[in-house]
Amino acid sequence: MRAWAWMLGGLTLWGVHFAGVYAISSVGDVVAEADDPLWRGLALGFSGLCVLAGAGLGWVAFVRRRTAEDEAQRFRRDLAALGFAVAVVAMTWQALPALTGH
Amino acid sequence: MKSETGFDPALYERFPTREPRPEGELEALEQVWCGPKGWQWITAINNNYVGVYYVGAAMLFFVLAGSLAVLMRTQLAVPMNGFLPQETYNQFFTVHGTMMMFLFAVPAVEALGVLLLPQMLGARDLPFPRLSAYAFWAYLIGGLAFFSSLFFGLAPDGGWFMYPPLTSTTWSPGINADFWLLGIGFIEISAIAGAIEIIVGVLRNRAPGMTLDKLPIFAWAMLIFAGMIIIAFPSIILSTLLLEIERALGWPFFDALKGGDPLLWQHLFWFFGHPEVYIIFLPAAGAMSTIIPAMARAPLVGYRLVVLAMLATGFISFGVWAHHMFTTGMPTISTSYFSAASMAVSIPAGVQVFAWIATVASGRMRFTTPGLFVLGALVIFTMGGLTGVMVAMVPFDWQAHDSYFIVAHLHYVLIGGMVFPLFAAIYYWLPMSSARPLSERLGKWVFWLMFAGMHLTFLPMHLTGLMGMPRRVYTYLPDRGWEWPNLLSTAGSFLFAAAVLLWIVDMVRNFRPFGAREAGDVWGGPGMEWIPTGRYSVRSIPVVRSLYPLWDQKNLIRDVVAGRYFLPNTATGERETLVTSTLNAEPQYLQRMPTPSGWHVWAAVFTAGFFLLLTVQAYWPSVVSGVLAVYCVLAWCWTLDRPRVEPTVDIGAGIRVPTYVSGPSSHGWWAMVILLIVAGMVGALLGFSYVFLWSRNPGLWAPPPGLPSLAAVIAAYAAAAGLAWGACRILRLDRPRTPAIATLAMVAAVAAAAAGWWIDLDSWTATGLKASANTQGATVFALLAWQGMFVATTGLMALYALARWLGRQVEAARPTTFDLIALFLVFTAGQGAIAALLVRLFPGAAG
Repeated sequence: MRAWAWMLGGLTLWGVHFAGVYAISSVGDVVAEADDPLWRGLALGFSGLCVLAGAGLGWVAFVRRRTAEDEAQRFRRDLAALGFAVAVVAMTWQALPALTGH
Repeated sequence: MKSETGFDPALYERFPTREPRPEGELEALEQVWCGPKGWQWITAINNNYVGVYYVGAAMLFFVLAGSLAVLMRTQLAVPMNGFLPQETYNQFFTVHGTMMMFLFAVPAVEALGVLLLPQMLGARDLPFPRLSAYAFWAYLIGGLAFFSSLFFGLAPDGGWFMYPPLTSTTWSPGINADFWLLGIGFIEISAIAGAIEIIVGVLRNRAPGMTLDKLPIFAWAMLIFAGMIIIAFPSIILSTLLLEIERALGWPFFDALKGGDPLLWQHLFWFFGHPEVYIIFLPAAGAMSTIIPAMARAPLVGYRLVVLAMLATGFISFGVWAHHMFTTGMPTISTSYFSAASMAVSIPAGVQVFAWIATVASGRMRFTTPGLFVLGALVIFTMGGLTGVMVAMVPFDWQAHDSYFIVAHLHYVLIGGMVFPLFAAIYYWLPMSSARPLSERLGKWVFWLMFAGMHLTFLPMHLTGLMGMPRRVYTYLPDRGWEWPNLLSTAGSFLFAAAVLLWIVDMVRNFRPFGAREAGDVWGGPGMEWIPTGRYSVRSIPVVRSLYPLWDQKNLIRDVVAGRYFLPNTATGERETLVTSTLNAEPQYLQRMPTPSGWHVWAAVFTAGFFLLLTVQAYWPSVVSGVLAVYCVLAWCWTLDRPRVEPTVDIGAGIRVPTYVSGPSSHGWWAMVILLIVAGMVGALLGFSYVFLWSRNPGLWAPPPGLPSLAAVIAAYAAAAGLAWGACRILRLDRPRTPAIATLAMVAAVAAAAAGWWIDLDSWTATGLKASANTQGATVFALLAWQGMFVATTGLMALYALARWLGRQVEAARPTTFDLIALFLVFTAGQGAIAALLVRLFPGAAG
C-alpha cells in the first residue's frame, strides 16, 4: 500500500488541492461571496502550501529515484517523481483563478 | 530483485523446466476446463465464452442505438419533416444517448477486458468468473428490457442526463422516466461487478515476473478504468435513487418548492458523467497503445509517460464535472477552477497522442484494417479534443452550450476516442477468438465508409451549432441556413450505417468462435494474448521478463505450450489459477476457481425481474423476484468457501504454494474492500447532498435529537464492530466450541448494529421531522434508509452464518466467510456512526 501511495502521491496531492480550492470557494459563497478577497487569499494560501508540499516531496522522489535497486522499483519511483513534477505545475496553474479573481 | 513477499526471485531461473512432462497432464487440464454442451452454453463462466458473449451484446446495442440515430437523422434531413412524431423523437434521442453511453461504450470496453485480460496477464481466468457471467446476464436482460420500452411507448424522453425538474412527476408523469432511473441503476450493478473483477484480476492474477513496468499498457488502462468506475458510478447510483424516491415517495431533493435544488442532480450526475467520458476513452487508448506498436513493429514510445498520462487523466477527470454547468450561474471563481482543470486535462491526452505519432514515426507502419482504424481514431480524437479545449473556455461555452456544436464535439471525442479504437481492436484481436480473421478487403471498405460518414455527419454540425441550431429539437424552420448542413449530416449518417452493415456482413462471413483452433497471431503481436491457448487460457503460466514477451523472450511460445512453466497441470484436480503479489507479481497462493452452475444466471434473471416489476409498479411480484434473487446469490456463495484440500501444492519446478489464504492477502478480501469503497462513495455523496441542500436553505433546518441518543447510537455501533472482530478472533482459536461461539458473536454483532440503527431512526421520528416535509427530512431519512439497507444485509449475512454453522461449514481452517461478514459489519457500523455524527452535529447540535 505504501508503494502505491508513494507512486500516486503527486496526483493525489493534485486531487486534494483541487478539492480544497473548490471547497474554499463554495464555503466562501455560502458565508460571503465566492470571490471575496479573504476567501481568495485562503485559497491562495492553501495552494501555496500544496505547491510547497509537492515541490518538497518531488525533490525527495527525485533523490530516491537514483537509489532504485532494480528496474521495477525504478519504474515506480520514476512515476512518483514525474507525478510530483506534474502536480506542482498543475497546482500552480489551478491557483491562477484565485490570484486573478476570475 | 528485492522480494516483495519473501518469495525468492532466483527461483524463476528454474524455468523453463527441462524434464519431460507426465503423460495425461494436458488431457486432465482439458477435461477440467471442458467447453459447454447444450444448455451449458448459458451457464458457462469461462472468459473465453463470456467475453465473446459480452462483446457481442455490446455490439448489438451499438447497432440498435445506431439505428435510432439514423432514424433521427432522417427526421432532421429537411425542415418541418413529419417522419417521426415529436414524442417519438424525444424517446429516440434519449434512448440513443442512454444506450450508447450505458449499454454500449462502458460494457464494450469492460467486455474487451474480460475477454483479453486473462490471456494478456497469463492467468487461467479472472478471479471471479461467475461474477463476470452474472454481470453479463444482468446487463443483457436489463439492456434488452430497456430497449423494448420503445415498442410500448414507455421509453424515457427526458434526455440521457434526465435533468429535473423536467423529469419530476409534474413534467414527466407516467413511468417513462422510471424506466430510465431503475433501469440504469440496475445496469450499473453490472458495470461495478465487472470493475471489481478487473481490478482484482490485474492486481492479483498476473503471471510471475510481470512487475508493474512490464504490465501491458492495455492492462494499465483497464486498471485505471475500473478504479474510475468504482469512484464515479456510485454517484449515478445515488442520483437515480434520489430522483426515483422523490418521484415515488415525494421526498424533496430536487423540488425547489420544498427547499430542494435541481442543481444537486447536475452535480451528482456530472460527477459521474464527465469521468464517464474518460472511463470510455482510457481502455480504448490502451487498445490504441497496444495496436499501434504491433502495426508499426516498434515499441511504444514513452511507455512510462503514457502510464503517467493515463493515471493523470484518471485523477483530473474528477475535477472537471462542473464544466457542464457553466451556464447555471455558479460563482465565477468556481467556474474558473473547473475551466482550468478542463484545459489541463488536454495535456495528458496530448501526451498519449504524441506517443502514438512518435511510435508510428519510429517504426514501419502497416496500413492494415486495424492500422487504418487507429490512425483514423487519432485524427478524429484530436479534432474532438481541440473543440474540447474551446468549450473549456467559459465565454465560448456560454455561446455554444446546448447547440449542435456540442453534439459535434462530443461525437468527435467519443467516436474518435472509443468507436474507432474499438473497431481497430475487433479487427486486431478477433483472430485470437475465431478460426478465421476478418476480411482485410471488406475491412478497408468499412474503415473508409465509416471515416467519411463520420466526418460528413458531424463536421457540418459545428456550423449548424454556431449558426444557432439548438440540440434536442425534432424539427426546424426553413430559411435559417440550416438546411444544407443538416442534409449533409443525414447523408453522412447513412454512409456510417452502410459501414456498420458491411462490418456485420464481414462478421457473418468470417467470425467462427469457440472452435478447436484459432487463426492466431496474424499480426506478429508482442503480447501474451497471442500465445496459442485452450479453454484453460495458457497451457503453463510463463515467467515474464519483458514488456513485449513474444518479441523479446526467445522460444516462449514453444516452452509455454510444452508446459515448461508454472502450473502446467491441474494441481488440485479443479479449475485454478495463480494469485500473485500486486507490485512484483510474486506467486502467493493457488486460487481454486468455481465451476459452472446456473445460480448466477438465475440471480441475474430475478434481479432484473425485481427492477422491471418495480418499474411497472407490480410491487408484490417485485418483492418475490427480489427474494428469489437473494436466494440464488446465497446459493452461489455457498460453494465459494470450500473445504481445504492439500495445504500446499507444487506449481512447477518444486515450488509449493498454499491452496487457501484468508485475510487481507486473499482475493475475496480485496473484492469486499472494493465493494465497500463503492458503498462508502455513495454514503459520502449522500453526505455531500445533505450539506449542499442545507447550504441552499439553512433556515429550513430544525434542531436534531439530543446528544444522549447520539451516544447510544455510537455505543451500539461500536459494540457491533467489536463483536464482529471478536467473532473472527474466536473462530481462529480452533477449539471444539469456537464455531458455535463465533457464530453467536456474529449474530450478536448484527443485533447490536440493528439496535444502533433503530435508536437513530426512533430518535429522529420522535422530533416530528417528516421525510416529505423538507430537504432536511428527505436527506436525514435517506441516510437512515441507506444505513437500514446495510443493516438488513448484515441480517441476511447472520442468517447465512447460522446456516453454515448448522451445515458444519464453519471451521478455523477456512475463516474467509466470517472475515468478510465481519469486514462488512465493521463498515456498516462505521458508516452508521459517521452518518449519525454528521446529521446531529452539522450545522449544530441540539442544546
